[in-house]
Amino acid sequence: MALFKLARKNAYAKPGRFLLTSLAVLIGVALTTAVFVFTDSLRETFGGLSDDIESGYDLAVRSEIPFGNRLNAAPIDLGLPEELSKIEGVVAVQPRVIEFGIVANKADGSAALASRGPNIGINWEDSSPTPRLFIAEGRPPVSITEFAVDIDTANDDNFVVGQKYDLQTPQGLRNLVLTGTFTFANPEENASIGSKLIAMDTRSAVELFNSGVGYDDITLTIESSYAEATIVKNVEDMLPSGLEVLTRSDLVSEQADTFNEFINIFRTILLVFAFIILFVAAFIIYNVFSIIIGQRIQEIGLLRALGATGKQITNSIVTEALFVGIFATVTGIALGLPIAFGLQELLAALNFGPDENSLPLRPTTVIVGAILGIGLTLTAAVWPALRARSISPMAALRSDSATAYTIPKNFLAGSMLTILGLLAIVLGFIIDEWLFMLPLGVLAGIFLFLGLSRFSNIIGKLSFLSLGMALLITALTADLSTSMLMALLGAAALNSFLGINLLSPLFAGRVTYFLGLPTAKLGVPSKMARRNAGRSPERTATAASALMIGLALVATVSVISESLKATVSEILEEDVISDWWVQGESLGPEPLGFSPTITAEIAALPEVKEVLAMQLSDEGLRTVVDQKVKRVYSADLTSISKYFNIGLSDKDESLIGNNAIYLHEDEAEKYGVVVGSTLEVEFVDQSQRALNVAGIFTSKSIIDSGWLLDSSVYASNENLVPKSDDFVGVLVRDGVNEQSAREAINAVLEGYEQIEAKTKAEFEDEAQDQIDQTLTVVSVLLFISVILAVLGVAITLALSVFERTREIGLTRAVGATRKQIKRTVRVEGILVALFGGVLGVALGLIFGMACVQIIPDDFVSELAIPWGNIFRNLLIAGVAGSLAAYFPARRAAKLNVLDAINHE
Amino acid sequence: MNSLTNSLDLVAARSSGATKIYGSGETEVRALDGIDVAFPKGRFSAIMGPSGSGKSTLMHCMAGLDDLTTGKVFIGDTDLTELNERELTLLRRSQIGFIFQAYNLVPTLNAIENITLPLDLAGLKADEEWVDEIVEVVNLKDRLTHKPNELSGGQQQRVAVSRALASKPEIIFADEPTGNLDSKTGTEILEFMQLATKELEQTIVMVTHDPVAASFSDQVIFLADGQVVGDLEDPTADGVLDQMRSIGN
Repeated sequence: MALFKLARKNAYAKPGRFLLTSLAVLIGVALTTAVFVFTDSLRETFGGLSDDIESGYDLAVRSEIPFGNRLNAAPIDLGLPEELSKIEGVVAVQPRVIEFGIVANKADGSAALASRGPNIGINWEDSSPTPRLFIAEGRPPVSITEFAVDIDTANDDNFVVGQKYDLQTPQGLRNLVLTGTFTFANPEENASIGSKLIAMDTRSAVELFNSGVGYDDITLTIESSYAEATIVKNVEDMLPSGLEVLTRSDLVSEQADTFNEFINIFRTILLVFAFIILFVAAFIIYNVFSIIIGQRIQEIGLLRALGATGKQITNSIVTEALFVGIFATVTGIALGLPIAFGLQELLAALNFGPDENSLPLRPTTVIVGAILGIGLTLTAAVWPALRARSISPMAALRSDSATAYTIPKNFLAGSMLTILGLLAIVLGFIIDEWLFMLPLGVLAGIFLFLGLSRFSNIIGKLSFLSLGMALLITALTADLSTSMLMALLGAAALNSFLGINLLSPLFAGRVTYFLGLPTAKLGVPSKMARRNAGRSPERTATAASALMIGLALVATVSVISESLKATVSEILEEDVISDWWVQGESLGPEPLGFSPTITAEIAALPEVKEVLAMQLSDEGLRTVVDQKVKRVYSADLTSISKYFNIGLSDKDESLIGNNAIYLHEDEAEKYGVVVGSTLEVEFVDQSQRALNVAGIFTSKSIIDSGWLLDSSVYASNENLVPKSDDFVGVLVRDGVNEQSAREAINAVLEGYEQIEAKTKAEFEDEAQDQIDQTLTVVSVLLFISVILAVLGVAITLALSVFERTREIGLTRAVGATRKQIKRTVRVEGILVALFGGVLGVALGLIFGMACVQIIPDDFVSELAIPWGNIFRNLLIAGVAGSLAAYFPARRAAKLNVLDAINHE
Repeated sequence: MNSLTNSLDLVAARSSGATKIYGSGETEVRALDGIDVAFPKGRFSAIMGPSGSGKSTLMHCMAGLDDLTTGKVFIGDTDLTELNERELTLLRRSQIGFIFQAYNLVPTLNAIENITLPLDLAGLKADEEWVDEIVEVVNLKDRLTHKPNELSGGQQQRVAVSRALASKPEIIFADEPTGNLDSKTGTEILEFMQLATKELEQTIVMVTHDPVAASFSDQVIFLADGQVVGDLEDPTADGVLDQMRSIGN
């Protein structure tokens, strides 16, 4: 292609500018690559481990659970192993027990808690030809007064074979002798990846960990000459209902699937951040290329005079963008690997996850990186490249040619594009999937812009913003699923960004003028700075756009988190009545439960008036009519109101004690029940019950799922877990002060480090802290995009200084000092940054408030705006603008006066 | 028709009733007012006039860089007023050569790349022998790989002249080619242009306000207020100066 060489030379002519331009895309691609590599490595590592952990057997027999957490499944009958061993071909039968939360206390009484994984209690596998546990020191435990621990825990926590230690079990605290230490899955090396393992002999494990009810699963080893499928069939034939048999590979892949689900969510969240950075990068590319073309108007005019067609010019610029894109992609992917490594190290330092490092670079990762890096750069450069087409050859001869690109009027094309835009929106609503609504919403905006511009330029420019506002209003008023509403909000935000970006040149001049008035005291430099910012409003607006996006996101996030904190405060203030709150640490969707014996001990304290034990089961039951799995709480319904205010609007206490349940009014409406009705449900062990609705309540602030079972329901079914308590509310006797209450309760909890008693105030503080922590992490990631935007401002300023070389020379010649020139550039930097900041914060507030409105009330119900934060961010924007201007200002001040005046 | 009209197949470029009006009503400016000119093949012609006479505008319109309000302009047999944007571009690429007063070269390309630029744009290979000959004539052999910022003003203009010659166009338009050069260098450039018409059979039309530069041409056309007001064959610097003075009165 004719201008290929020119494109290449233009791209590399100024290496500094080339690097800076590609920097933003580079970082975006690097982060995306790092996320993929990191999550791929996690998957690999886990896959390997899973294989190790489930090794040494061929088949597994376990309970069928129609839904819910496997840990809550009904235990297997104690007589089954004998029946299984009678099957021909079965060489070994190994029953297994596994229970979370089994913690040994160290010699000093403190709990040996695992920090990088769970605490697990298992049985010693002595019936398997290939056991998973290998003795390292001492001997395996054989009676209920003995236990063994994994070798790493023994070393880390100073467990000595032969000594006695306390063990926390669901049956309470037991004092046992440590008979030996072992390694897991590998005779040489312990493969327990950060979790701590306690082993007891099988019978004792069943009694202490599973309350004597049964086994958790049974593994079978088959003689190699028998066909696996035949044995499977034979086992299936003799299994009682409610049990199933799996091959080992089935089990391993099932575990891999579960882990993959979790990894994918993790990956999605990280990718969102990477994409935000890429979005900002696109703005930077767009801005830089617009400026470059503006600078090269004469050169382009010359090429046109010499016979280059508009298409050749456009292609040349697109090629230049391609160079930037390719460089950014290749470097970005290369950089992604060390970043992934860093992420792995970071996680290991936080004591989370395995210790290994692998950096798998799959072809998919490279392809995605290439599409993003190159595709984004090209897309961002396309518009300026197209505009360059309109540069006439006369531009080479006259220095005042403007590049105002107006889209030619074309009613046919205009109407078609507008209709396409409207169709896109309608399609989004019809498909009703958030994943489609988001891109369709943005596509609609683009089509509407292209279409309406062919009728009138102004209407075209307004189209993005109008669509954005229309979608915002729809999101606030329509009755759709939360995910759809959020997608609408997202599309509204993106359209609004694009819209404001298009329109901001119209008011950039005036706004920057007013923003700059406080600096008027600095005299002429300030006036020049204010005028300059307004002189090329397009450039000011685009440079500020990137900053606007970054700050808008930060503002939105802080509004949401502040509101979340306010909601939590509100809830705890109004709805929590109990003085104290005892809870185990969080283990995912359910907290770590503790033995009811602890609850009983607290209740027995002289300082305590009464307690309320509550249990939580994340997938506790399933409604028969619509097969929906529900998160259920259970407690003694008669006492609830003394501890919490759930807004009971209607109740019939006579029904309590007979499969009673309190339902939230939304759930009651959904199932068409009132006080006195019945509701059929199925539990994890496949047993069914007709629950009696004994009350309707209005507040979901504590019972977020809306399902509150009476404690008698679980108590009456031996198969049902939880057998442990998850929360205990404590009412203290009159006259007992906080200090004495705390001492008394903590005395009971001694030896159970992972369970804490908190007052209402402490509970609230902890909740606020958690929210703050999450906010900090999110903000750090967002600030990366802000930093990039500031970089964009710096580049713009540098190029603008270059463009005004002659003018700066003139100003110096007539008496401006270097310092005054520096000041001008710095003030301009601050103004551009503040312009973006003010717009960003305004947008962020609007969308933040809309988010809070949309998020269901049981999650966030109060609106709170962190004004302090907002103003601090604006201040930071201003400072950032000043910093961005530092080097350009120095360059400007250093210009030699005569050279500058004679500059072309 | 002026006295320089020859039979049509010896005319490289001509205009007929060329008129260009800027603005309207009270503020109307007639940059060109019904100009009829013809530039013969193989000759070095100059367009002279004071500033504001319309000489640059005439050149721009005849070269297809700008368009007329009314009237016609021909390069060879092609009526430029009938061509669309793209066709004009292709015409400029193959049939017309340009030398400007300033900003002649693409800064990121070196000398030889600038010289072959119009041919590269057309996707054509340069006639190697021809380019070598030109480079020899303008004496740029050892400067071919230098970038414009590494060349003196005179050298840059020589590169521009070479570029104009390289694609063997129908006609070369030069807009004040020596305006930015000292007299010695300027003379060199003008001598090359003479050489080009005599030895290499090119047609060159130069716009200038400098009588000395005009004296290098074979004939001069004088413009004032958008109209042709005179002509001179085989001009001398003094003759041109005299005629200019008389126009001024």
